[in-house]
Amino acid sequence: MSYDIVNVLGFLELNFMLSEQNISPLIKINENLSLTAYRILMIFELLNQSRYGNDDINRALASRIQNFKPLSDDTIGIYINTLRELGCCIPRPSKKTEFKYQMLSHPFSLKFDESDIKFLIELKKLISVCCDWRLVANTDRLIDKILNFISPEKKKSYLALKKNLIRDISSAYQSKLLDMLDLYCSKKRTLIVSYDSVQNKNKEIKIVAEKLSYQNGAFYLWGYNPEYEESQYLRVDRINEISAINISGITLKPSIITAVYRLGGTSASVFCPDEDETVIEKRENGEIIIESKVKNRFWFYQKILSFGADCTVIYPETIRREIVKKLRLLQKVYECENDGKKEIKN
Amino acid sequence: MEKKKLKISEAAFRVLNLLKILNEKPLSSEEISELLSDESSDEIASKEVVSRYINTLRNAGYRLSRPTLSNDYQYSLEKSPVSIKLDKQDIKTLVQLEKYISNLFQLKMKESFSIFMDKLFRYMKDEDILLVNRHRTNCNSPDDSRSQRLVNYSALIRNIEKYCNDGQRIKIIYRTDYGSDINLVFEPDSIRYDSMCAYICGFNIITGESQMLNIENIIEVSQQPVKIKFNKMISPVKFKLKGRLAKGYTAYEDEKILEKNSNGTEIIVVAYPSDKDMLFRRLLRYGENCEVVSSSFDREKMTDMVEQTLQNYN
Repeated sequence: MSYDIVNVLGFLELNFMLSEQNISPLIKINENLSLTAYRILMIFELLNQSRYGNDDINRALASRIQNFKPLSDDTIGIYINTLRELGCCIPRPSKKTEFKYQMLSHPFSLKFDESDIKFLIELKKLISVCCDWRLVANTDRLIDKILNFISPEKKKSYLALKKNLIRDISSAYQSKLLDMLDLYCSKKRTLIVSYDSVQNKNKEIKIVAEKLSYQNGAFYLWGYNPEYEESQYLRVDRINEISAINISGITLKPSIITAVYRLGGTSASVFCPDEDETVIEKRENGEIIIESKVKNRFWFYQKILSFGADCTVIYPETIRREIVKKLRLLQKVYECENDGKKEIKN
Repeated sequence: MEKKKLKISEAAFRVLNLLKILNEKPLSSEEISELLSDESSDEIASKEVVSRYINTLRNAGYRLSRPTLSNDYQYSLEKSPVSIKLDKQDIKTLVQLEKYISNLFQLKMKESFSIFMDKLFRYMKDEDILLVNRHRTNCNSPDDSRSQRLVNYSALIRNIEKYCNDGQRIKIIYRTDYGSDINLVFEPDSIRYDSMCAYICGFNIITGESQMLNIENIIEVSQQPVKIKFNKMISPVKFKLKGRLAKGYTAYEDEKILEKNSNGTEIIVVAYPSDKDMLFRRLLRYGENCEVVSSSFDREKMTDMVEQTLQNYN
């Protein structure tokens, strides 16, 4: 492109950007307007939007100020220094910035005090118990943007407080990964993911993506694992990459076990069935009977155990036996020391 | 070595500094006059100079309020010089959060969110604020199932919030799992939520333990004319985790990993739980890979829980 066309395009782009800022075109400098003040304010606005070289700055100012006389490089340098003196971070033009000025930070950040930081922490805590993983992910994204708009010290204060007060298992690139996984879940794509399990790093796992969830500070990808013929869940922060996507689809043969369990006590009064569960009976004494389509046995066992004595598995016998086995193993863990104490009591 | 003094434009600096301070607080004409004055001379900037710079700021696109009686005759910057870049999803999220907070029925939290939104609005473009208002009329609560449960307890939640802020003891008639009602003397601390319920967290004076009480089981609550006395000494629970569970474990918010063996297959965690029963139920999930090691009272309690659960299968 010739220099003239570049200039015209540059002029049009600048006009568009400046018009977005509600600035009336072609200011006439009179005794009621300070030329110096107007120039510095314009330069600040320009650098807040993008990188500008000396010529760009002159072009932009010419499009705004009637009878404008181009500024010398020295004068522009003085204005840049003035911005730096105020607290703006404007490094020297270099090859990296195409030899233009770029403003990396400025002192007009969103003013947050300690109570605002505490409020953000409280907000994050409250959202973390919400069932809606999308709301959790979107809140994280929004908070990240806000944090990048407050002072670095306040951001540091928030991150330090968050580390101590919230269980938050996330990674920097997680936001984009969640978007991708959500898309694959909607299309039930078969993925091959590189996964850091507890025992093996970079383990390749094949999974037909079904849904995402959020629990106890971590995002999980749920899906069908054709190798184990069972539903599996993977922690999203442990997914290193999606190595391959199979769009042809595979035959799903999920082994789903129908289980029935009884719930009493507090657990019954606050119970809310998952999407794979149905309350099939409510008794007068407050107990409820639940039917569950078990896609992942490990997850189901954990859930049943967490109800403690409020819960009894009624059916099938295989799951009952497994629960009893786990409880007996747990009983053994506490038996050795407690046996001694029982003798003393007797 | 002395830092080389940058060559700057003093007049330009004064107007930028004025903008910076106006971004933080309103200023009177006199204060602006002082800011715009040349330090090298004794003269303070005249009213005409102040007017010129205010006019320049307005022509540069900055919205400054007119000094009137209602604003103590001060100039204030209605919008920040810089805008935060929020996309459509961020705007939606803001509105969803607002609705979510509102459905927790805590006035103080709602007020805090409102203050937060006001601060953010100063840094948002007008069209983004319009979008927020448009979404407000259309927004469905993101957590309808819980808010549907809690709406019947909204007055109780507000009262409990007040009791927590007042720092005074309360008397509660509480319905237990077995259907019987018990009297509790409680020092309330905060309200917490999980995916379905709301709980009052605090200290049970009678048992001497931290506890979380389900708000739906509270029959009656009244404030006592006694200030909160206890220093909230939460007795810790130590537990051991083994195997894969230990290797991949991330501590919860009231926990700290105390020890780790050389290959990470065994860790000792100390927890300061708001409710021990809830902690024990979570530890039961871990099966034989988790063992409560202290206190001996807590260990016995855990043993009892295991025994009671096993009895369901006898």
